[in-house]
Amino acid sequence: MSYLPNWSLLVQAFLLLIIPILLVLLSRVIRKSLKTSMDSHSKPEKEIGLTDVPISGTYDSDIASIRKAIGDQADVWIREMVIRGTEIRAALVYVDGLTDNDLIDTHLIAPLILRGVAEEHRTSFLDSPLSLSTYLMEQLIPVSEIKKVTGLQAFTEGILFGKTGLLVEGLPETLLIGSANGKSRNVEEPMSEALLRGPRTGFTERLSDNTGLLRRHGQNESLVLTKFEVGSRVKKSLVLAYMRDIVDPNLVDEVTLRIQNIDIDDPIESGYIEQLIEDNVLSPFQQLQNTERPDRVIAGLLEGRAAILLDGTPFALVLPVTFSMLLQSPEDYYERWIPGSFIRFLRFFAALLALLAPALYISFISFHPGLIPTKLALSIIETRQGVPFPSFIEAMIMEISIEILREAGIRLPKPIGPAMGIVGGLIIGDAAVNAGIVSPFLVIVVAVTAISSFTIPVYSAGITLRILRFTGMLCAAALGLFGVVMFFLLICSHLVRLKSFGVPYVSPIVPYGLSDWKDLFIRFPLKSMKKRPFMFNPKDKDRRN
Amino acid sequence: MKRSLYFVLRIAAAILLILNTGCWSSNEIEDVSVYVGLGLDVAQVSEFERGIEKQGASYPREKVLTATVQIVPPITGKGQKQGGSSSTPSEAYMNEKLTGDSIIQIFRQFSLRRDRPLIGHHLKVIVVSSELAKRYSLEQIFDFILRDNDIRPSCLVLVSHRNAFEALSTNEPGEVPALYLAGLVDNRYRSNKIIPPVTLIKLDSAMQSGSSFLLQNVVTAQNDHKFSGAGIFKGSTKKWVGELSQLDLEGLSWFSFDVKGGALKTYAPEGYSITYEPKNSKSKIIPKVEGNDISFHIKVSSEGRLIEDWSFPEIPSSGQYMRELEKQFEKEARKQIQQVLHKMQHVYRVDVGGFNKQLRIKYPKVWNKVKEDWDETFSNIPITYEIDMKITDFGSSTD
Repeated sequence: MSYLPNWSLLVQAFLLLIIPILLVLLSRVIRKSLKTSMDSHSKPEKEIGLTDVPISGTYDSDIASIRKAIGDQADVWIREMVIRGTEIRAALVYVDGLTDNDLIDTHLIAPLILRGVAEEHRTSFLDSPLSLSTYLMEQLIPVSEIKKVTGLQAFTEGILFGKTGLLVEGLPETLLIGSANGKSRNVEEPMSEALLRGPRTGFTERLSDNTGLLRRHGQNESLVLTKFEVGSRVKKSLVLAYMRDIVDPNLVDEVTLRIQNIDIDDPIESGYIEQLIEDNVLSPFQQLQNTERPDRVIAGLLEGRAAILLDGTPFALVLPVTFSMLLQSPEDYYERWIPGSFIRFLRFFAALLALLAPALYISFISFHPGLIPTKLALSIIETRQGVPFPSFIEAMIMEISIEILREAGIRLPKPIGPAMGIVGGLIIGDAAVNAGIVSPFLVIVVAVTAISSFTIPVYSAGITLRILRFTGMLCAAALGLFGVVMFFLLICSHLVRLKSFGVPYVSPIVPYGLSDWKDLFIRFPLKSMKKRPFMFNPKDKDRRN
Repeated sequence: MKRSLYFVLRIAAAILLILNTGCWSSNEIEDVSVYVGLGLDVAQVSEFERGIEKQGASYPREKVLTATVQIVPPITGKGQKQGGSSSTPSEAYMNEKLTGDSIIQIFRQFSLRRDRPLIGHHLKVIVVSSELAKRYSLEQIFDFILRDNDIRPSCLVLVSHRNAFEALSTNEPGEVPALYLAGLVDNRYRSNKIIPPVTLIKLDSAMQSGSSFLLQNVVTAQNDHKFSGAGIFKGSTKKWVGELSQLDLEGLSWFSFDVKGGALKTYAPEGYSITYEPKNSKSKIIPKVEGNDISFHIKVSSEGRLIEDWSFPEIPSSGQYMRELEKQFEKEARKQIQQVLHKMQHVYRVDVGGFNKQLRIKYPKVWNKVKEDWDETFSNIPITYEIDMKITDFGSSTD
């Protein structure tokens, strides 16, 4: 029996077998529980008071039912009047703050009260009430957007959305006039994606402005903007943009399907959409790219991607995403190719640093002092004399305080933000060293890491790396460089498996597409990038068309 | 309820799995002692050891050798460092000495004295005293060092004329002798009195091949060092047999290893010193075999510049004058070569000039016949040599 290994070896082998299986089962359970919690919910109950009754045409009862439906809203105004030249009563219903008072005064109230029905027409529609509405629309009200509505519910919904309602005595229908005129801001340079060189435009909160920005980018017949309505309680417009003759039709089908499957009461921001249609919920990597820049969206569309714009947010979503996209900036293309490539290379390196620098520090300091050059090792030993914590705790303290500082920097009011940043940096950098809590060398490592993580052009991708950095530190603390290697392999294997709308996440590295490498680490001269990226399977493969 | 409990349990199990490993073999860098130098001497029991032995603190051993480890940086408390950042510690290193008859046992004895265990990754220099190397074979002394996993094969090996402990001491504040010694070998481009560095791995291969070899010699006086000459180790015993002087090394360098720099001084016929700086040298050892007779021919060609000329009144640097000087320098180099060959063949009777290698490559069959007793055979082989020196320029002097 001597050939049998002893029991501890057997246990180890068993554990080695069982742990991956357990992990797979665990992730399966989590996935399943996420799915079931998504599916099972009750349909929203319809509000009771708003039963859909048709407009009767009897002024008093109609106005009473309107009052009953929305009259108790504080911001709903009802302006009653008599149309000049007739005895017909009318009422304007609108929401204060959503409608343009000038428009109501000059284009609704003025014609109705001052001009009224011309004398020669007065008798013509006394007996046929429907011709009155035609007359109002065609001759009296000088407004472009006007719509007839017969149901009370549609009427009140329209009013609450910002239209002005006109109820006229004797008409079995009402008119909805004008469009919502909420406040919107100017087109400004996006805060989160500033560039030195490039257009200074950014999306705004208004969908029509944003689609306008895309249209206005250049004359282009193939740009398609498909409208969807999402949200079960609060309905919001969502626009799917793509280039008709470039994009892979399967991608459009898939995105359309996923958008139609969105089931949520109110998608407040495009982040909601992103999270509801992404492939892998458990992955730390984002599978849709958010951007405030119209030029970035257009560049994406021209590569055969699609974009989603949601009303009420300046953040558009570009999909599908590959890993290399997160490290690319529009500036790479606006600059000449040599500086562009250099900066891109720098960014890849910085991403690696942001991910691994503290983990490497921990593993070198705690596990492999032999791998540090001798003179550096000596100075590290000298600076670490008297540091009371092991390097892992030390690095954790610093990393967490840096993260706190970063988070606080976002929340701080603008005037004191920079001041607090300096104070915080000084305290953390200098005082912590003087107090002997951390070593000066670590401060350098942490500072380099923090700076590196801000070089990543997509802010949310930077956050991903920051989170993963902590996992890396944990692995380094447990197993040293071996742990770091395992951690890196784990990330790699996850990335290889991950897909964003059917496109492998790390393409064109895996699967291998040499011609797409022209736009990976090195940004080749524009003249040599003749093809659109193959990874998105574009219909029109030639960039020159 | 039950389901979520299972869920939590599963996650807890996964986390525990990671936490259980703890910090597997973590050992913070400030909690270990990095030693950069190792000196090996014949036994000299230190005061400390004598003191503790009086109290019975000893273990069974023979007093064979004293190992000196040079630990950097010396362990200082944080308080001391804070108190006066201006007052640097007088010594940048700490030498620890212990005596015994097994190096590994001596190393482990350090663990009884210091809270920080020794790690050998950063060992740069091993100095063996010639006294110890005379008594014991290097194979015995270096057995542990070559087996040890920590110590890098790139570690430099030197031999010290006197005490190895002295070679690892200095009066210079802030200087770490081991790093200083390791740095000296890099000066080969300035002096041809330094032999190519012998690292642990080269020492190992030299010992395995059975040929004789040289180790750079360190001479110390008043806690200051100098590289001077080289210790000769006989291939059959791996023991120290003698030394080559600086002058010998210079002669050896002409044909045995490439000259990258240095200064060849001789005297002009009028008695003034003139100096030649070799820049580019080539040498070739050509073995010749006729029947059973082996002979060698050495061909040296060197280019360099006339760098110093004390002639007074100054002689214009004409082509003819250069030819004359070249002759002088050639004569000097011949003298040096002759001297070192004499030492190798007739004084120590060892081949440390690489002749064996050339014979092995060109005439492997002959080599197989003579390799058993090569050092003796070598002593009786006739060696001829020719030197061709060329003064290519005479510096920026414009006369």
